[in-house]
Amino acid sequence: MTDPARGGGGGGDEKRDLELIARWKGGDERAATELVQRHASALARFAVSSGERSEVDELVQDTFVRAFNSIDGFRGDSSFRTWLFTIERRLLLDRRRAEKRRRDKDELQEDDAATEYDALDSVVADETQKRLLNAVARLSPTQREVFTLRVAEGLSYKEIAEAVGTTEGAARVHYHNAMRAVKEFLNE
Amino acid sequence: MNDCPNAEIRDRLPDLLHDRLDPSARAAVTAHVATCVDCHDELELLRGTQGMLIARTPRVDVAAIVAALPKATIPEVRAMRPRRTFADWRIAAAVTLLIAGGSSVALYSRAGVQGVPTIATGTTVESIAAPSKNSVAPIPTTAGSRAIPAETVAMNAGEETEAGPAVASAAADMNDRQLQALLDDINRMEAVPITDPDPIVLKVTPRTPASTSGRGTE
Repeated sequence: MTDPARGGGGGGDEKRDLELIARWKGGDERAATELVQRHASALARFAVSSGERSEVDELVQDTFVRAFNSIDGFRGDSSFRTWLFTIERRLLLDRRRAEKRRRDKDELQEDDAATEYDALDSVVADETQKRLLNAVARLSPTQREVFTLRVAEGLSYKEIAEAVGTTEGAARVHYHNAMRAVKEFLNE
Repeated sequence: MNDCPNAEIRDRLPDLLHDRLDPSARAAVTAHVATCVDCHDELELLRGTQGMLIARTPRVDVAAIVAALPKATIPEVRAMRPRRTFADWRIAAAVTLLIAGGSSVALYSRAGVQGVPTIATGTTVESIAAPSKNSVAPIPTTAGSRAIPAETVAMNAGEETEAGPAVASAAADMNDRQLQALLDDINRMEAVPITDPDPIVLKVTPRTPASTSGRGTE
């Protein structure tokens, strides 16, 4: 899948997002299509890194629907993609809470999350990538979220902090701990 | 795989991967990576992880998402109506006051020019109303000492003035009997100008036979 805005969403990407949002507000439906094309893959990756596996499509769609419904609330203080990550993460947490109430189980344990992440192992055929995938799968959910946003999406620590609801310093610590854990796994 | 002791450079490796460094920072990090095996390996690790994460990204149906999106609500363009502000009302009130004040001044000054008799302020109607035949009955005042403006005197003397407002003000205080007496007095006034034209009387004198015959014989 192509990912037109992949690469961290620099100033040009953010400007383009704002242009598309303005066009959509003016009635241009094609602008919405382009916005979805630019950010859908990143949202799907983030969903997977957060442990979502079965309803990624639905989660991404719900994220966009909620974002477009409240597009007037987007002030441009952060990038549009970071804002989408924030919405998606809230939706994910809401789903987990609802699921938890339904099953009347304890909160999802880190081991369970790792198992769910491993379930997609067959997608990666390359042996090196399989080892990397296993290394990432051993990370804690928060470390994995931060690591994915930093490595795959190129977000700054400030943007990561906004997306996952933490501080910039904590995001930096999570990233370096994750990197150290991945290296240790690969060195075993 | 070891960690480079230069934490600052390691911290910027993901930014180098995503080309989010300014030119000077990129040059510094690139130069360091070129000479540091640990940073070089870590950058390769980042690149491989990025590729892995992208490769396992599930496909998303963009068309389905777009179809589910709400339609953009184009803001309705309304004709802009000028909105009254507090300043507008103040300006309107000021203009009204100026007009009313100006009219009053013009009215009073015009009446003064035409020789309306002026009486010292404070003179009551009772003292003005001379016991003449044509005078109006004394107008009772509400407080007994309320002064009536000088213009009201004009009606006592039967003079032709333009002090209408004052007359109306005084007449408003009269009862029916007093008002009738006033009207009767006005009707008896001799100084009231006659507005009806004098009737034209044509005198026709019949011709005498002598006058006609004499003219004819000449």
